[in-house]
Amino acid sequence: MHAVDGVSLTVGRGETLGLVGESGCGKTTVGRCILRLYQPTEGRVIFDGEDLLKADSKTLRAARRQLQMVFQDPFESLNSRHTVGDIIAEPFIIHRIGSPAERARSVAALLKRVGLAADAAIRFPHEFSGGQRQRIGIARAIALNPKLVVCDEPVSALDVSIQSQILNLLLELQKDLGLSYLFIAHDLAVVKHVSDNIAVMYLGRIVEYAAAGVFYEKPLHPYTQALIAAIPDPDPEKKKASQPMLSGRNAGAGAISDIRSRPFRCLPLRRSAWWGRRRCARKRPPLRWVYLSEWCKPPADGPLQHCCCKKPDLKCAFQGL
Amino acid sequence: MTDGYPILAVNHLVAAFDTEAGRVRAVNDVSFSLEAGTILGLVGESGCGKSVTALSIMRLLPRPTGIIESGSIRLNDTDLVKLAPDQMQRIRGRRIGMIFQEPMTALNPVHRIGRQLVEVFALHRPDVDAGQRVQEAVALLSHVGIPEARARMDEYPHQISGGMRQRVMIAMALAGKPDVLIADEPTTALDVTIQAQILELILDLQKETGMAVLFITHALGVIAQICQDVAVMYAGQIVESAPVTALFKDPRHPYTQGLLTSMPRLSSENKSTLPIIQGTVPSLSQLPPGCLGPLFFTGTLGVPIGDGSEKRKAASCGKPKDGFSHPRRCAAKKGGAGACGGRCFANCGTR
Repeated sequence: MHAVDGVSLTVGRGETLGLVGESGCGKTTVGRCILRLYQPTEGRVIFDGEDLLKADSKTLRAARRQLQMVFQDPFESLNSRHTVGDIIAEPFIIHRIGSPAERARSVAALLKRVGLAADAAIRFPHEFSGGQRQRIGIARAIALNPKLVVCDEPVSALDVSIQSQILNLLLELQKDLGLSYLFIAHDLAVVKHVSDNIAVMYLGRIVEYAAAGVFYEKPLHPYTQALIAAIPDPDPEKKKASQPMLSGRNAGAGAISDIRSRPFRCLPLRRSAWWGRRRCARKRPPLRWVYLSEWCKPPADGPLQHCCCKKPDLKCAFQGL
Repeated sequence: MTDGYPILAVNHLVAAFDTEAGRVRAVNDVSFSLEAGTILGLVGESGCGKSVTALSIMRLLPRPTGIIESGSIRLNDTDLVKLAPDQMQRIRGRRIGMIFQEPMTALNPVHRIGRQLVEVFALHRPDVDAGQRVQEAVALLSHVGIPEARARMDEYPHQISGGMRQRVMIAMALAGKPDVLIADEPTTALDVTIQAQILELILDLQKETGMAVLFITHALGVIAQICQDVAVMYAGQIVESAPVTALFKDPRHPYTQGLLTSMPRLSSENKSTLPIIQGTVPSLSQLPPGCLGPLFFTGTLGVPIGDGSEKRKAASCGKPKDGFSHPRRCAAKKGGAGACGGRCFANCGTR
């Protein structure tokens, strides 16, 4: 089973790439492959000119100083038997940096940086709320001055009012420390808010890849369109018209819940009647540059967008051919 | 059933838990009424007491720690608080149905879906005789949009997707043809496209049956899309309630204002700083009696609203000003719609 199949993406220096998709689409797997927490079967992960998948353990160890991760669940990703000070000092110990006194100073500075009181260092994770725990996780991630932080659903376990605090903190840290983020989430509004570019994943593949601004104005792929249409608008005066592909009673028939049931060559074939059951492009549609105003032109100046459709409108490869 | 008739009225409900730290009032003087044919949204963050409110209505608070201290819950003319357990058993499922957040834990994993559904008919629908139950169950499953319903009857909950499981839950809740449906975060565990399907299904069924729905969620977007009225809960109390358009257009309570401005939206500017609600939710066991307004903003009274340049002071208890509506105040002043500017869904009664 290919949980992630032929995914290519680029995170620029100091930029945020949002990776968005529904549960089971493989977005977390992509994040973990980048850190080589999973060993991908094929492909390359180039970080600062070095292929991490081919790197020996020494090079990998050095690279991992630059690559950090913030996890979804601030309850499970912190060791409940360690004090917060120990947790944040752990990266220094692993990479043998500084004396104990220097580490303590760094921990204090980091706590301050993420908006926690200095006495937090001697307390335990359970004494903190979810939002504060996520701050601890972030402090640990930025301890070694990484270049890239993979944020895997960093705010989805948090309450609405805490979410915005954490998002602000992440944005602020990016500005101050020049961090790059791979921001993995299922909430499009959140992803849109923090990202420069956005990649949409569906069943293990990237179906659309675009600049954040362009993305919402003109989604090209039918799946992206459906995803955006499905977001409940927090404006009662803009009640959504019923979505053909999302319509209540009938939609269940076409839902794909399992990556194994992905049609062999064509991606969203079975999603719903709306996308048609007809044969899709015989070959896997390649990701190609699409010029926004005129389809299928080679990149020129102007907003660019990737889409895996050949002609990414409703009459695209998914319905015709 | 006619619209506008209050079918469920919760009045001054106080639900408490006995903990090591003493008695904690998880729901503190909550009042609202639910009209037939409408959907009332109950919105709030985790721990604000919205689920405890639902469990109190169902009289399903964990015993012996959870108790309803005072208040009444009237379903038409019956006060549910005063009912004996066996009488309450006849209300649950028949008069009030409930769906839960996590359909996987709410369904029994070792029984087939059909058996669980047929059991509901056996319990709550004496009019359906034993021979017909299976047919009724199949019909109900297809009614909630489950394809190949008969085949699904023989499957176990783990064999179907989360969205399908939630449809099964909805079918079970509707089997007894209840007048009131309590939906406790029914879409929180679902993907956004599946959420859209489930919301539409609930809306459809609600229109069809004319039942009243109490929809509990933390997602304001969902509230905006499906509810007529909305009550915002905070630290065990309803701090604001209003018709949905009014609440979103002109939120009065600083907490509501904070909730609405702090959420990232598709239309918000990229990478801009979000206005935030300072501090965190206070612990219920440390809540001083009385007012919540100033308490919420731990450490600072001034609440940055909008871009943060405009500072507004949260009104202190008993002194509603600056558009600050306060149901407690309103409750003290009987029928005092004026005091809360007509926004108080809970206690004013003259909305």
